[in-house]
Amino acid sequence: MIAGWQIGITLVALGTWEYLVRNGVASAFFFGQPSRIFAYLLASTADGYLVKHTWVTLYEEILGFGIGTAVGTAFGLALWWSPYLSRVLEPFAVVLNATPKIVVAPILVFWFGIGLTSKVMIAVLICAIVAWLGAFDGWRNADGDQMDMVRAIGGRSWDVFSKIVMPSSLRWILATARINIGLALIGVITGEFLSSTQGLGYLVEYSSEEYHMSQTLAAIVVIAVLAMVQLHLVNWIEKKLFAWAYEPEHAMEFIS
Amino acid sequence: MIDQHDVNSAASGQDVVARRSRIHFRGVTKAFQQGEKAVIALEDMTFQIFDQEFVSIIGPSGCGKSTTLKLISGLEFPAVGSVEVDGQKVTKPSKKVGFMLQKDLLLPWRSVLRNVTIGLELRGVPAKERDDKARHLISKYGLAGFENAYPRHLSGGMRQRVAVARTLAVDPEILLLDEPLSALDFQTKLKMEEEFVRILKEERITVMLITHDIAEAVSVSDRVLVCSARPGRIKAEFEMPFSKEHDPQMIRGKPEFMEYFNALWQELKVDVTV
Repeated sequence: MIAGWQIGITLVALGTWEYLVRNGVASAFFFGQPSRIFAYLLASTADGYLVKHTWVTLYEEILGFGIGTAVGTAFGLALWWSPYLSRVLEPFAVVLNATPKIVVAPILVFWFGIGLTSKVMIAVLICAIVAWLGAFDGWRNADGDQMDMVRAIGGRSWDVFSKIVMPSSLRWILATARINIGLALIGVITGEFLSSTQGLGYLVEYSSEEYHMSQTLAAIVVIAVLAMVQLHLVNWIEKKLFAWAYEPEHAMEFIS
Repeated sequence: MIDQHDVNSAASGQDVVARRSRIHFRGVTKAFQQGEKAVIALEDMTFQIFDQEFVSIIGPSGCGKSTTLKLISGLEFPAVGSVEVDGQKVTKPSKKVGFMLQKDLLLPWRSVLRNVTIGLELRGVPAKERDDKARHLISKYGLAGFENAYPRHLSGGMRQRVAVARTLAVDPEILLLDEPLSALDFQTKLKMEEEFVRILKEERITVMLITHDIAEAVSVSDRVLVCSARPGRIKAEFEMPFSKEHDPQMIRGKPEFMEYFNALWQELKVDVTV
């Protein structure tokens, strides 16, 4: 029933929009038109134009996200080995966390040029900082008694790290990854806005400069779809990997 | 007639001549930093625990009982005095000493089997051997069938039993228990007490139990030590006459039980502040 309402609302909204444009009440120039957006999506998918640009953005995003998250996480976890260094770096982390990382995008475009590299670097920087902070927070919440138990039972520091710190931080890290992938997309698209010849951000920028509203909206639709798919993917991964962290299930269901 | 010893007398503990000392605290003082202040957790704490004894330490909250556990485990070191296990000063965690806390410390990302094998993994025991041993213990403690379950599938009592399996998998000779049963509901706790005592006596493990529950202390121990309020030191010691019984439930039913309970409570309540 809820789905019924949701579909209903969508259809009514699109229908009204289409109707208003067709009857001249709203201008297609300013607002675009659902049928034209749809037509454009079909046509440019068929001739590969949209696919090419989508692929560029996706490539930049995934690469930037991957490298940034890996580097940031590694650095954040490594700080577990030095509580002293952690204390030294903490205020820097606070400042970096508070600052909107996107502000460095123009600098990175300046340094790395118009091509894909600058966009990847934007995503790398944003993701590295956020991942660093996530991992840092993650291990600070590891259970001290579990760590004591491992030491008392015969473990050395590496054992405490690999058996307690890393697995318990993993959940934080994944939560951070969920945020990061969204930020990576924003970073990459912003970079494309600033200066590029390819990608979905480029399409949005270019189409709006040329006053092609429906094309602009079409590109935005694709971006939205991409973001949704990513989010679902990360949620799915989290459920699979972290089933152990959720609500207790009934023991009786378990008997093998 | 309540058998209370002068804590400082050489006659402390049963058959002193025959038994060897497993844990020996000599004049231990330990302090911690709490915010801006230094807190003295233990001051001049002295006691001994002999082979295969089951000794309880009772005391008011904050008297340093948990600190005692960390000192014996080699996770902390005394500022003054010495902590000896089997006559050797403790410099690092010993393979002979195991501990259990109120928290079961089960790792939620590991199955029951892998939780039990963790100690064996850390000692380099090969996979097949450690799995076999773990399965044997899991079955022995009534958890057969749950090897591949995760901690979230288990009740509190079951989780503590997994913790017992994990702790005993590495064959400790000395066991330090910090209120391991106090998170359980009363009925589960009574049942677990029985099981625990049976297992520990069977395996001939030397036990130091820290507890708030006086009745528990009386029903399971050979001796009960009373810790003063912070800074903690042992201020009284009582020999329990029942320990030959090995059955906490029966002991609770004996007429002398209440005498000992009251004697301990009289000693303890002076230091309890509300």
